[in-house]
Amino acid sequence: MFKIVSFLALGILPVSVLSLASPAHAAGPSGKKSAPSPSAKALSLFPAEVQKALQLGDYASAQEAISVALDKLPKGDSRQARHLCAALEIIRTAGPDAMTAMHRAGKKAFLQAFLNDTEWMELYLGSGMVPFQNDVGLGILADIWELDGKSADFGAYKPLACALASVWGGEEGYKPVVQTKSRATHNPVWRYQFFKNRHKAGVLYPGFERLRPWELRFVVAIPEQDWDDQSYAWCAEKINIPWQRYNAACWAAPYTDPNVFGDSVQSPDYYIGWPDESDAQKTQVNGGVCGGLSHFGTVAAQAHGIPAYTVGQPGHCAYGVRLGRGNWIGGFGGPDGGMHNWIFSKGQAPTSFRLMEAVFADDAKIDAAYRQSFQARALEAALARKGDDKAGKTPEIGEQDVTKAWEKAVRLAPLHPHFRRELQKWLERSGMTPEAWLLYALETMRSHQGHGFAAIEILQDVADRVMPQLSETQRLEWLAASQKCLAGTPGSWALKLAPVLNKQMSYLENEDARKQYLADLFSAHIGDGDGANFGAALEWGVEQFVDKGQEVMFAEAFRKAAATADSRAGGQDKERAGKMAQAYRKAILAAEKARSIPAFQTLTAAAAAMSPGEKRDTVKATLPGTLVSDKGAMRFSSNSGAYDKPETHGGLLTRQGGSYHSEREKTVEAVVALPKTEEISGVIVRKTDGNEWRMKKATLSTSTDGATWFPLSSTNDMPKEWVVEAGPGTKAGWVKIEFHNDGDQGEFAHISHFLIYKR
Amino acid sequence: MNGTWMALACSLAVTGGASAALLPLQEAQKKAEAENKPIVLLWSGSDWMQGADALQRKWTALSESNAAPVVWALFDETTKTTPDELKAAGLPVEVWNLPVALVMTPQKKLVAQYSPAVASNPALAAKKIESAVATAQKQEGLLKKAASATGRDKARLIGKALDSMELIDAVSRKDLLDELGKADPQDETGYVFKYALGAMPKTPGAVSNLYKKVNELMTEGGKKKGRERDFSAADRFLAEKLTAPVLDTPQKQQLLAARAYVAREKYRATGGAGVKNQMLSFFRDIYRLDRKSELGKGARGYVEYFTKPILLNGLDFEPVHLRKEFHPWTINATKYVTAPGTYEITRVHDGGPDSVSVRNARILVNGKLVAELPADQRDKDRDSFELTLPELKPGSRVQVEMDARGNGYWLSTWGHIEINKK
Repeated sequence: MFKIVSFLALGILPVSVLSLASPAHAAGPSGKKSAPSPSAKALSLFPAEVQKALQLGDYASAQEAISVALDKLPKGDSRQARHLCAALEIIRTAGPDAMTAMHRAGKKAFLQAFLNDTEWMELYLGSGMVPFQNDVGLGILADIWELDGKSADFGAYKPLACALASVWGGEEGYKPVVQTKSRATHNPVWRYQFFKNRHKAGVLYPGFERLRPWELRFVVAIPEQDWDDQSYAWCAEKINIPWQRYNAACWAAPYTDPNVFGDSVQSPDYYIGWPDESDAQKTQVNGGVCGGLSHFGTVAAQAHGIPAYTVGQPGHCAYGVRLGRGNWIGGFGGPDGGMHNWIFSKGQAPTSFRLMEAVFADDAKIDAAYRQSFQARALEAALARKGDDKAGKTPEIGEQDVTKAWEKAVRLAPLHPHFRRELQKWLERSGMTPEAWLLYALETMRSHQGHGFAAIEILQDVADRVMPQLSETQRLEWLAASQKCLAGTPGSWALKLAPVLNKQMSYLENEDARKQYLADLFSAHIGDGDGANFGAALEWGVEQFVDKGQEVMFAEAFRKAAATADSRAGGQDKERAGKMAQAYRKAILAAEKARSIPAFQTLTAAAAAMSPGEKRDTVKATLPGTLVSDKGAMRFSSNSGAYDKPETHGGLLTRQGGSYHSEREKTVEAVVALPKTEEISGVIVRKTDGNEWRMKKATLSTSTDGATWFPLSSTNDMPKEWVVEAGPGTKAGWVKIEFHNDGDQGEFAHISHFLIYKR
Repeated sequence: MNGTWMALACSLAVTGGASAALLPLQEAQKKAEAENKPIVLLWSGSDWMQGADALQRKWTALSESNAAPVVWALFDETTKTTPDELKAAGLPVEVWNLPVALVMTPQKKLVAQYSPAVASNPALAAKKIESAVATAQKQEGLLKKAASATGRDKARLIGKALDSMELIDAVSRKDLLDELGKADPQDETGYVFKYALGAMPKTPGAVSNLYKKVNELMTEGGKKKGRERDFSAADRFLAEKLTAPVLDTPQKQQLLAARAYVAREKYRATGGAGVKNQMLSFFRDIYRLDRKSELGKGARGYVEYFTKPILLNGLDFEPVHLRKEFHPWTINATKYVTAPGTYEITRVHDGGPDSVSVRNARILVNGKLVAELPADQRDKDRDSFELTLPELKPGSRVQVEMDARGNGYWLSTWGHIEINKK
């Protein structure tokens, strides 16, 4: 049991398992070099019994015969083994009955071509999702093959065909909405032709021909909220801009509510006037709001061969566009939130797309990992036959062989959750001890550096099962490792740390352990990461401890963590106060980045207490109503590392005043987030003393969703105290000021007050 | 811009003139200002657009062979052009479909913009540019007169200058719209309102402003709701605006759309065939003005929406089948009503808040009404009805109809109809 874990840790694997993972010949997995129809050599890769069963359309017998044939293969015949494993996996995932039905429904020729084409099968199986018990994907491949299979260049477009089959097919337990749409309007074969023709015309994004099926999934459709085929044709014709501008293509459609006939977008009547227009046409011509516009931007990018997806956010819809591997950029406030197209983590971005990019980053490695997973599945099949085999004809095979095979797949693709989930299943069957699981968890978290949320997700079941069997010290070791992993993970407002922390706290039974956990949490985040997860951790700490009367425990844990950070940085006693101030500054910036109002409020109040009596600028102007900004939080486009004092940011929102010092920027941006949307009476922004000559051109805007901004006022000569009264009915949950600076160098911004009053 | 370049303007005959090749935009603007000539700009993208190099060569050839008194320019938006560089170019419009051709004043104010179909065809572009230069001349003359005029006279001259442009281009001229507003603060000419309507729906702020005003009038600033709203006040406002002589077809269509909206709100609140017919007449007036415009096409769609029955998917209904006003549902019932007799027809609520009302169930055989409720049971909301079919010939087509109403929101409610023989 323990040895299995040591294999993972040490990278030792049996030679017999390794043979299948290496590419057997030069043909690439994309299928681009493979012939349009199977060669005689490929046909010979099936033994006679298998060929006979395939000819008859008896896929259950073929499945059995392939498994038996694999047992008999001499060691080293990796080309045939690779082929048989892929074919076996196709039959397993599609289901022999579904394949027999296809055979009888006139798809025999396609099945023969497909099952004799190793690279094509592997390409399909490696599309990302597992096409389990699903004949939809194979049906789409068959339709495309019947249309285009005899074309000389079909091989080059197999990745496109596989992507379409994968998108429409879904996977075990997941049936995409696009599958339920009418083929009259959402037709994967039409899209195949559309993208192929456009590629041949040379009008697609230059990287299109290098995209693999898992990437093309994000080009060909939006599985959960797809637009019709003609929308792709419309966008291809009507939107043509440089590639880097597609994250703004949403603005080619007007943001309009109500429509020209007065109908609200909240009702299905919004587009009733134009029933014959495509989704894209009616949106570009007649308008929409965030949902319509984000779909428009997404389809515009996709129609040009650029991967993109729409994404749901609280009260908003946005999108993401991918300009090269790993380079997802946001449109209309994206790319984070709930993706409407995904491979992993049910589309929770950024975890989902970051994990996907990491899993598939190395083509050769991931192809080898998939091939290894087919081998593991073949061993599972052999083991199942052994269970049924009363006569004892099957070769000696044990559960440990299957476990080792999955272990190897995981080592080739350590971040792949499908493979790791299978491995964990077999490890559990092996009866691994709690101590061994702890080592496994620590190894998993080490391999998931930068993917902390994915690590938590994949280990969740294990943690629930094993934690109660570990000592408090061992639990703290596990949790501290997970916090280090999370701290090094790029942050986002969309990442929900609080449920993770709540769950982890529930594993701890006594107060000392919880105190230690809180200190470990702060310590991990104070010393690593971009600050956003730190901010979220602080917010959670405020809610769980400060708000429940345990502010002393919170403060002690924070001081302990800050002290740890001091010692790591080699701090001396006399510098302690300064280091502590630095810790608070970092914490406040983290709270701002995390957009956490409670953490911002708590930390700025605590930090202000550290420097009482500091001189502040005073504001003279006032507005009718009640000051509401003092309950909010701020964030900025930049902070001057040398001069900005985040501990004074809280004061900006009060009449007592504070200070903010930006970096030199062409456009400096400061945003106040209010606790809730209010009908505001006005805004006062005041420059700090001595900086009156700066910040001339300025714009104030309001928003109710944090992403869509409406102008409130603008000036080309901002006074020292800029007082803007808002008209009746002006609602805002966020207020933004932008300082526009001419010239290439930009300019600094310095403000002492940013006050918002509600009616 | 003064009259100097106007005097130089002549037709764009392809006569082998001595124009320079396409200049970079910044250089072109300096030259245009120095020589007081309009700028003709090709906005293209050399490193990503298929055929961009060939297009640029054609435009270069055009500029070299054309005697037009213009400065020929190129803005090459490449994959390396940053947002700041695009902003710094100071182009007068946002463009999402390249290539385009722009005709601008020396100060880069828009005179005309031309689509990819025109920009990709330099011969066609030459003709369009000729027309744009004539527009610019006309505009120049009007604005020169406007400069020395005041009040309504000034507003009329500015309004006519704007009228000389395509509507979508005219509404981008914030400079002229500002001057217009200052010259005619009470909008005695009607031009201020005309251009405040924008080029709907491409100027979305204008759409919401119009309906905001209409709703304020109906509700008296939020004081009245439902059937108490003052529909007449809103309609009077719109009818009065429609009398302005300066309006063109797009503005008239937009105002009629708003009148249809007021009539629809009244119909939803009060019901009645007369109000519905009034609403429909406004929609019909819109498409009579211009059937091919988006408002014309949309108005036809609304007429169909309000006049054609809703065909259910089998026996199931969902939010898209529900309107805010009563509307006939049609159910293909041939396989459920197979013999003469009494049938119980029931609406069953399956999910969401139960916000559906149904009434007036009836049976049609081969399109002919054969069974309906007695007069005293009509126009009353019920969930279950009994109808008797006296006879039914084999092979007949049977439809069940009823009037249904929901709350008209996405994801509101869903359910199904049961048809059982007693």
